[in-house]
Amino acid sequence: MRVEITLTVNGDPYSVHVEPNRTLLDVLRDDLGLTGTNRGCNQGDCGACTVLVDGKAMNACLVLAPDADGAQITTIEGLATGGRLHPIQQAFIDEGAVQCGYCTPGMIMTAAALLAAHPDPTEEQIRNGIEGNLCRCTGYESIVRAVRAAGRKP
Amino acid sequence: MSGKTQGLIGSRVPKIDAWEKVTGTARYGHDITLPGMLHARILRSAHPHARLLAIDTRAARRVPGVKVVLTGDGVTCANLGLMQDHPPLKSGKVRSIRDEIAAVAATSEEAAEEACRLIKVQYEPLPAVFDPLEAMKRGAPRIHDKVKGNLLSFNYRFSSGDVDSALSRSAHVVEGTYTTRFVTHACMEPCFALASWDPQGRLLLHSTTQIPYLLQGHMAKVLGIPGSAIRIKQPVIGGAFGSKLDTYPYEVITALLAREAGRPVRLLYSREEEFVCSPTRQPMIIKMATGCDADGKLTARRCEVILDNGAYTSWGITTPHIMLLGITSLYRVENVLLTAQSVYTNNPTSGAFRGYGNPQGTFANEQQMEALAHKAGIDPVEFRLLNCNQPHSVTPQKFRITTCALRECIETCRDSIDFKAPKEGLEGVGMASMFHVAGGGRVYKSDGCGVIAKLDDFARLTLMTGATEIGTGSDTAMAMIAAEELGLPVENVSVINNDTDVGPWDVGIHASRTTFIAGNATILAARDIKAQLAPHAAEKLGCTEEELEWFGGAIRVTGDHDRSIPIDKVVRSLHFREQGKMVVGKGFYDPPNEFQARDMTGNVSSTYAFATHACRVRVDPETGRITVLKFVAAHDVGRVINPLGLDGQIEGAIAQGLGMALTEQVRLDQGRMQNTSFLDYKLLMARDMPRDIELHYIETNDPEGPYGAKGVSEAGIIPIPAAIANAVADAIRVRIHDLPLTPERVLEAIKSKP
Amino acid sequence: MRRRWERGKVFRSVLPHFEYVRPRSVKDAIRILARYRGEAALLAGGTDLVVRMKMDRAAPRAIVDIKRLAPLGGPVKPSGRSAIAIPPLTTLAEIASSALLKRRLPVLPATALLMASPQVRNRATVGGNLANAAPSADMAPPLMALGARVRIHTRGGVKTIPLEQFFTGPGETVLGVTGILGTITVPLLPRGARASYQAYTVREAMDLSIASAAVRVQKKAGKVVSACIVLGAVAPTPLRVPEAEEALTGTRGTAGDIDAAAEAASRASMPITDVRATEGYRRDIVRVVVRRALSEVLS
Repeated sequence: MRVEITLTVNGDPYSVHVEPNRTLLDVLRDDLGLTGTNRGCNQGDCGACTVLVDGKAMNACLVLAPDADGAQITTIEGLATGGRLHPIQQAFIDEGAVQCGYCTPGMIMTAAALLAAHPDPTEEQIRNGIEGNLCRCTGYESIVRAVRAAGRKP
Repeated sequence: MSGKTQGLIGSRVPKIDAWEKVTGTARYGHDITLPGMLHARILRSAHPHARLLAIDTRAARRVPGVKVVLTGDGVTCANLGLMQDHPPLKSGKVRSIRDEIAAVAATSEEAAEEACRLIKVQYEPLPAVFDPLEAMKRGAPRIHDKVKGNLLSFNYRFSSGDVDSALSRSAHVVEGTYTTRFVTHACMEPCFALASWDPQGRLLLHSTTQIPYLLQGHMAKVLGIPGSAIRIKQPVIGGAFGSKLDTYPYEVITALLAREAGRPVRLLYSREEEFVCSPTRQPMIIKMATGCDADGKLTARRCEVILDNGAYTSWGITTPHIMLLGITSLYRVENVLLTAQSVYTNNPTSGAFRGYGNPQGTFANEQQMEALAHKAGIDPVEFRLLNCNQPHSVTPQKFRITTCALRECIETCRDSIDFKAPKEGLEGVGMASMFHVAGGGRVYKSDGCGVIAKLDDFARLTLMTGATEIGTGSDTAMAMIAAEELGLPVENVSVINNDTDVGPWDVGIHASRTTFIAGNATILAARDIKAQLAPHAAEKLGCTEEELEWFGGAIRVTGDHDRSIPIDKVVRSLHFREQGKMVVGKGFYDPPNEFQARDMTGNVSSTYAFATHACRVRVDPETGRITVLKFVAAHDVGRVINPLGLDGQIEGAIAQGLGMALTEQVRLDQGRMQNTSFLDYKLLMARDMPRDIELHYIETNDPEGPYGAKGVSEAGIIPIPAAIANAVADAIRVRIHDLPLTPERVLEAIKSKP
Repeated sequence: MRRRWERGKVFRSVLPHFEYVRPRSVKDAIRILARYRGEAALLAGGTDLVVRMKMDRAAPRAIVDIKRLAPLGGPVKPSGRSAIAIPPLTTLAEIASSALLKRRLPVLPATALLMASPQVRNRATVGGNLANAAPSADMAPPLMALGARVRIHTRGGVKTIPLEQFFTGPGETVLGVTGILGTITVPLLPRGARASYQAYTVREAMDLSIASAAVRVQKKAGKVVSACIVLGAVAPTPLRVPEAEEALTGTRGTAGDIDAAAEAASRASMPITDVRATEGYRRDIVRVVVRRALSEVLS
């Protein structure tokens, strides 16, 4: 039986009717058309679908849709403001932290949450911060550099 | 016009597609929907080897929303694969756990899944075999009725000199058997296909393929329609690493479902399905012997390789082709005898994976170099230097080495890792080098790539090509090369490389070839444009064509920069006139390399890459866990095109190579994968990487490469398992011949010490 | 050969259907659980349940979301003068960042930080980690070693039991079909006592323990007067090893004493061979983690 949920995504209010067996990831991608958040493993092991739920990084694939009722969500589409990239997005471009790019939105959202908590993280804080995000292309080195670079910006 | 327009080569240029990937606007397969699109699911075998006696799909057809249910008996299509042994939908028999028995298209994934669950199958289980050595034995279960002894007829033999007598005359000989296991690509994006047919009967297949034009041909053959009735489009590809180098049943099945339904059909694998059903790196059993004389000069090498082909044949069977490169030609050895035999088993089918057999071969080769050096009482680094290849030499397989910085690579690593530094506890240092194709690899009849370059009235340059981008940054390299040639900012260049209706032929993204081949094709196309513009520019500037310089979006006179004309103005002046013309350049580059003869000789690549890696590891004596303290990679890259991209290629390869060396393994039980999640298939993560990684590039300016560059993207993974094994052997004084070097296996080795 | 109809394998990408229920109270939740007779599952963080459903290992008819039940949530706070009360809905991230725990029972925040990833820790709850009763659950050994007691809400009322009596098998606890785990009360360490948790994993993060050990050791006048040693991932439930505790108690806690205790723990462990490790390797690792945990607290 469908349930109605309301949620705020990237500042915009939405109300959707969903089957309870849908996840927040399904709602974002299928119902709201926000396809920037990628489905990597669909079971919380890879971090590709990381979004911010009430400011905290979470795997959208593990959040049941009804459980997201009332939440404030930020996705990769909501990170840039007023047409300006978030510093972490720019740093990912500048440091070559993007290859195939599939892990990138989740990695960036995780990094954004890390930077919100630790504005100038050390290398170890960065590695710990992204310990739940898999990347098969970069070997993480350029990602670590990007987060450091973004951290050093005011 | 702003932006850097010259001296681009060698500068750090961000990937031209990076912005869309950091904003979530890049469109991957699962982001594409078409009106009326159906969703597909595949039913696979419950047994690794069985006769299919009956399939009952009646209940499945009754599920609301189900539009098509297909089984192997209900379709006519040709087989897939190099040996044409692989039916897209199986009938009569299944030979592995991933075998496709039926497929459903429905209005939702849920309905398609539900329908698959309701399909009933009668199997007659058959004895199965999961070990290639068992499969070769007399009386072993026969996997393909026509193939005796499960031995594939496609095998390799290379012989040079007299190995037996050279080995018997050698002062020192080492012998050993090395085994490597199934590992898998584990691309972040699971497999995807989306097929639709237009009313004229033309198929549009969206695919994350690495081989759009071969796929077009394969699909034509399998479906029995003309290739002209097939268009392949590629969305942004979320990782490939060789896994998408073949045409697979799921692509054919998706096309068949769409044809039957008369509607678009999309198939997405789940992660578990991706683990179980996508290709693997072929496991090998490598029996090798290497000898040297009293001075440490290599005398002979014998190598017998058994490959687990799995149940069907994909590119895995051809990997000896590349793996033998390193075995015969990394170091100078005159007498070589090599054989490689692929064997059918009821295991997963093995395909292509970055390095293409070379990491496995190098794992044996470089461990033997180390062991032989010790046996001969020579420092292993000196031993390698003594035997290493030189520029401008020809190897026994008739590879013509031109530029070669192997010596410099070895010396750089030696100087960076400090082999003599004191060690704490179980610490060790190790080294390994590699040899690989770097100027294309003629494993197919054409090794070519075409580029069409269109320069428009606003100085926007569009490169249309078949050269696929899988994340490596090859399209950025092409844009840089074109921009450098024409004096345009990179920002003015678009690369359209995702549509067989648009781009000219490319054989596919493999063999580290794309920047090299497509880069050269880009140069040709750009120079074609220059040739078209030059006479007019010279006329307008009142100089000779030879005096022209292409800079800052303009064409100017060398030494007299005030005499300059914007490039777009020249284009417009050609265009907007009576009998005007468009500016379109063409380039097709097929490298001067050779298709190997049956005796496995022939210059397969137009240049070769060399690299050496060295590492310092610490082994926990109580748990066997390996910590890589420092990692050094030195690569002969010809010339650095884009250091930002190059660093990424090598660093990424280090993570993949360390995974292969330390933790990654497809664990099979009776052909069934046991570790089907990222929790248990252990890719390395950010905290697992060495904190101290050094990259060194040695520029040899290859005469054939674009601006002197060589292909690099596979080179980085090849030496790693060997380098780690050598360092671990140095640390624990026991040599491990079996990958991966899991803590458990290392602890076992420590305990085995007398 | 007898022929029978079988199925094939289809990989799941859509969660099975269920009813989503949000109870008004703990009592209401218990009533709902009773009504579904074992076919309902409690949802807290969901990081375990949702994954099991996706892997086709669970298919409850109803999911009872208890996340908004006030008696199960709230902050970590002192309970009397000598204990700390941890509500079961406390997330692992909250455990990791609790100033109170960091000051008084630092082994618990340290343990939480070892687990999974930041994303998972932001959802997963300590109650879920205990109630799902995975043999490798990381919060269980240190809480047991610290002598935690847990409140159990049942149809018959509320009772409090030692955590040690909570686990009955892999994935099984005394909660049965209708019980709900309540507040976890952890006594503070007495004077002279220290605690440590050591978990061994192949990767640094996102991994399950091959074996782990929690220890709480109290020393007086240079001698070990009490020891509690609990192993994880090497038995059907978190396993207290009295043999190892006895080996240590009364000693001065020298390296030799520690080795003897580690050896006793290894012998008492009951590991299995699975895809992650063999039985023998797990026994080796038990020795290592016990030794490391004891060395830390006795140094």
